[in-house]
Amino acid sequence: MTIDEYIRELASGLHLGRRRCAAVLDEVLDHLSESANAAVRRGIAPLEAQINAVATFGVLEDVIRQFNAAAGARAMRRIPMVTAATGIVVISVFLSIARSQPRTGHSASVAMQVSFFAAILGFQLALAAGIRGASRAATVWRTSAAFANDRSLVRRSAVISMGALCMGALALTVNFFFDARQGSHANAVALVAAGAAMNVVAIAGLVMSLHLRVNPGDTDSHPAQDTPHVMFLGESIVARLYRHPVAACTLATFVASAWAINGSEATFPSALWWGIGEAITVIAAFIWLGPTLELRSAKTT
Amino acid sequence: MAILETGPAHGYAIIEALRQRSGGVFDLPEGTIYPALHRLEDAGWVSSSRDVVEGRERRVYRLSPAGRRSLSASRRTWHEFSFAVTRVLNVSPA
Repeated sequence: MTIDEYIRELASGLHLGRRRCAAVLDEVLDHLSESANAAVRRGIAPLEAQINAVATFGVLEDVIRQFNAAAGARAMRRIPMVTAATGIVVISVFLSIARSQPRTGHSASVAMQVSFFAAILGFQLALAAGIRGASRAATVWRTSAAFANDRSLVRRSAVISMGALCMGALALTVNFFFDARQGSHANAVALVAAGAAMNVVAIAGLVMSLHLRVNPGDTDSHPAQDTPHVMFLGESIVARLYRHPVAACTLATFVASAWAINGSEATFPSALWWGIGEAITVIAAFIWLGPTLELRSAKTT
Repeated sequence: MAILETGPAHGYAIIEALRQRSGGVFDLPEGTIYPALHRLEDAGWVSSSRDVVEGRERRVYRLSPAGRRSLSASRRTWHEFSFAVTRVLNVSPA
């Protein structure tokens, strides 16, 4: 295989961003050219020198796999920043608009209560999945390698987190819509604008998470070795919740009920129903997302 | 990282130095050095820039202060480990 052919094959196998890919190809081309030129200076025929340079560079599949794995580890480190930044912006918009709006003075409609409940659930799920991914990324932050299963988990957590954030933002927009229709708020335009802004930011976060290439199919140079996971705060909290679902659900019920009562747009009996609904949803989420977020494996460490 | 300790170098020079210093024992596939350098760069132990070397523009790698600390720690660990293994191997049977 000549240098040009090797570079062409390498380019087709790399799963990197355009700039990164160009930089890698430049670097490899420089290396192979220098290696071949050195051989030519030693009296070897140019074509043979190229073939030798390619042969000593390494098996194409191995080289591609290692470049992709290294780039995947880099992308994995970016994911928590993307999810955290997106979450902070969405929650900030929500809190600022919530604080700027006056109390309605009348009971919220069922549609408003349901949409608000869905939004809070979305935000909770986004937070839990985001923390899960971020804490796994933190465990391998200072190592020079990140294994395929870590990269895969971090990306999966980020996609779940951003998907839930989109759901929360959409539900909150619906809530704002009904709120604005009641005509009791001074600035309905601000509500609609805030809803639109939250949706745009959440969707952008989801798209960015999906586009960061962690290359989970490309294993590192030590595929048999397990990462020595250190349980970070977020990871250990999630693992404890998973081990004690009853306590976690009781806590969630209490917090949700207290929140609803504090909002004073619901009476105690209706708030309690929301709390029970919250608890059931938390149980379902643990059962559904437990294997996806590898919560079971966390308690073995 | 130990090779970069003496000064900045590009990938080809690092492989040549590795081969020379190890007396030809570490004759790795040359392509493995670049993903490894990229990992070290992502971890903050190595930095790189495009510099002109011998009349050609090349990506040159240099050890960062964090990389120097990591190298020092790794070296200490290795010395302890190799010292212990040497002692174990040198014990003659009773």
